[in-house]
Amino acid sequence: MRSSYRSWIVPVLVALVAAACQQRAAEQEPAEPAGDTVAVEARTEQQAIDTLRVRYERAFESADAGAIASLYTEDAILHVPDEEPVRGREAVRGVFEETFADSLTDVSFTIEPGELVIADAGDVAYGTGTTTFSATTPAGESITERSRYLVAFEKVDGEWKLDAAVSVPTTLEGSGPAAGPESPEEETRPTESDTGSM
Amino acid sequence: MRRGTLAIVLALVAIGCGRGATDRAGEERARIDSLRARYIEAYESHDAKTLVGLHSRDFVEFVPGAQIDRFVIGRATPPAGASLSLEPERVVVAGSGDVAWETGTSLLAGTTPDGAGMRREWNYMIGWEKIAGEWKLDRMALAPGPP
Repeated sequence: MRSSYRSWIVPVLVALVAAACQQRAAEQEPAEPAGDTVAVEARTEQQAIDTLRVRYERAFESADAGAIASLYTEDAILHVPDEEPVRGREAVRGVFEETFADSLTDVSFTIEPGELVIADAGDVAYGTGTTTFSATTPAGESITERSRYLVAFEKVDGEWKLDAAVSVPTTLEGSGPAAGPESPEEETRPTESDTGSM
Repeated sequence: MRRGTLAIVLALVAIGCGRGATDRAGEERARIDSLRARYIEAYESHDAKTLVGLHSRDFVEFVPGAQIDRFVIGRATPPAGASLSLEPERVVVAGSGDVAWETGTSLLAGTTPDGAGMRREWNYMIGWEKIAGEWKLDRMALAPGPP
């Protein structure tokens, strides 16, 4: 009796640990749910990311560098043309503090979101879009800047954060991409319209 | 002795469990690394067909002053012998292994047909999407590096 007890307790314990493993894996990599469920979850995540966009716009228009920085991950990385990359939340805060120190008035900042791609696990996403920034300088000059962006999001402790972004002014003329050779067979369509998302 | 064996078996199973997700993310990163290498090879050899196959059908690229819809296939053919590097700084893969992104630096260096040296540095970001089991470049944005 005793030996038979020992003979099955090992596989039972191993099975329990394995089941716990599967549960953990399922949490990290959920099995594919039915189509409707996926749609609902994607919509929920999209709404959560859209809330982030609204918070970003409000923080910008309030010139609140701290609030903007709080929307980024600790190790966020930002790229803008002709500048060194901005690395980390504190560096992000510093950039916006500098921006807001210019005593601009009539500040307006809008984000036009486009397509968003969200992982089935609901932990990572990326999207494109367009930002429009306008303000009046202390000298009375009106400025408007429009940029396209590609942004990555990460869910941290259940909350979506900005994790990385590249912002490209629509008005800055470039000499072409480093990675992107010409292909006579394929149509390329530079356009001023934007399909972006956030 | 048996207790020791039991403890070892359970520990091994638990370790295997913990490594599962990590290994999976590592495998996906390795696949993306491999695609990046193929991209560079195709770019340097002007292999448009291979390049097209590495992109999603609704690929979009942002470069200063323009948005390029459909396949990247940019606007400048690299000079013969030019070398391209893409050095990722971060590669993040979703737990479900269907979405990833990376950011890093790109360098295109070579000699133009008139003999002048050429060197272009960019900061880049790529959105990767797994489509029908294969990773595809889905979005790309390029910002010129600091002068």
